Amino acid sequence: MAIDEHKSVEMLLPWFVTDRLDHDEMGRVERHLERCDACRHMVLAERRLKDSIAALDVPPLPIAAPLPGSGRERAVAQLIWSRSRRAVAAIVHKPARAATMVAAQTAVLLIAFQVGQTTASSRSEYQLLSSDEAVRDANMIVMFDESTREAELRAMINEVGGTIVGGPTGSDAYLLHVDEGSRDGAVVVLQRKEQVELAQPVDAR
Amino acid sequence: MTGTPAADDRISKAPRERELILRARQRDRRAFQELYGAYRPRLWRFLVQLTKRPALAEEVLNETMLAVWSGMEKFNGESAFSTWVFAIAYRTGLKSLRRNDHPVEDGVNAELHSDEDNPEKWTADRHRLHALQAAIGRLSAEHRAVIDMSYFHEMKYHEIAAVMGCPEDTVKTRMFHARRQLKKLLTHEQSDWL
Repeated sequence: MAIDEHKSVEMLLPWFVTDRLDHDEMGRVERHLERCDACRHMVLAERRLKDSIAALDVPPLPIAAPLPGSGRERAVAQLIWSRSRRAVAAIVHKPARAATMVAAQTAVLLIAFQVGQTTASSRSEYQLLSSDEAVRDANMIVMFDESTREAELRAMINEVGGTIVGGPTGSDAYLLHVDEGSRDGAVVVLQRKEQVELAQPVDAR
Repeated sequence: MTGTPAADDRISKAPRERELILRARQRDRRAFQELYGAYRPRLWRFLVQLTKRPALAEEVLNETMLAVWSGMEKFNGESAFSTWVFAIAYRTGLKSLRRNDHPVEDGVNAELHSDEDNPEKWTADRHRLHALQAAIGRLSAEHRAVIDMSYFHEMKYHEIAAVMGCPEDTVKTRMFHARRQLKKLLTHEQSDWL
């Protein structure tokens, strides 16, 4: 038996047990299994592993955040809520940074949003109080490629006359304010930048 | 975006989902809401396994869905819709892990440890699953992702390659090493079944 063939078939076994190989590959694996004890043994192990992974516990789904795109308030509330959850994670996992995160959160988080169609228990998650009213002015969200340096990022925001009023979140999303009259143009300019992964108005359409 | 049955089939094998995707591209919020409901549980599972941090996974999930909504017009049907959505989730998840200083690349994550529960309180099956979960938690994010996408989400390796943005052979190699690493991380008794 060719070692290369054995190795090559062995690499396909995870997708053989999930029945996710194409027809030719399935045939090739089946022919190999007829004459390879080691691979037949591995198929049994693959099936046990697949079944075990399917049985692993995952924490329950959190209460749904407001849907994106259903209004400026919801989009902004969603980001703020994200930030609050991140701060909680920092408290849980990095105790030394907790005080800093809470201070930062207090400085930025704001507003008592009345988010429609949320449950009573989830609504309280969104009613975050703070004195920083600037975030209310956010009318745009932008996400940059992770290789973007801060100086470049700020230069791009300055170019469109934007002001950062929130962020970054865990994956580098920023809330901006741009004068209403030039906001649509700013979105287009930023969307054309290579480093920009997402630039989007956050008001209702 | 569509036009031929083959192209439609590539976007999604489910006619209902194809209809929702087309409507969501026209900024139909009800259609997007339905897609959101369908994808949320799958993405949640994927992101919890990828990040091993439910709070982080929740944030990444929100940002993923926002990016999907914002980018619906850019979805051109060259891949399956599910592949496109998972690719956004994967990239957003990795970016978030890097930002939070969690290891992403291949290798064992020494900072993550299993819980110290007393094994005696577990039945044999629960004990085995607990050990497996802990071992998976010690893999790199890339290895965790390839395991979850293969075994749980039952994706083809070329779909996983599209999500991860890497060659198909890299997916096979990552899977091979992930599996070998898992066996190493489990104790001899626990790895007998693997």
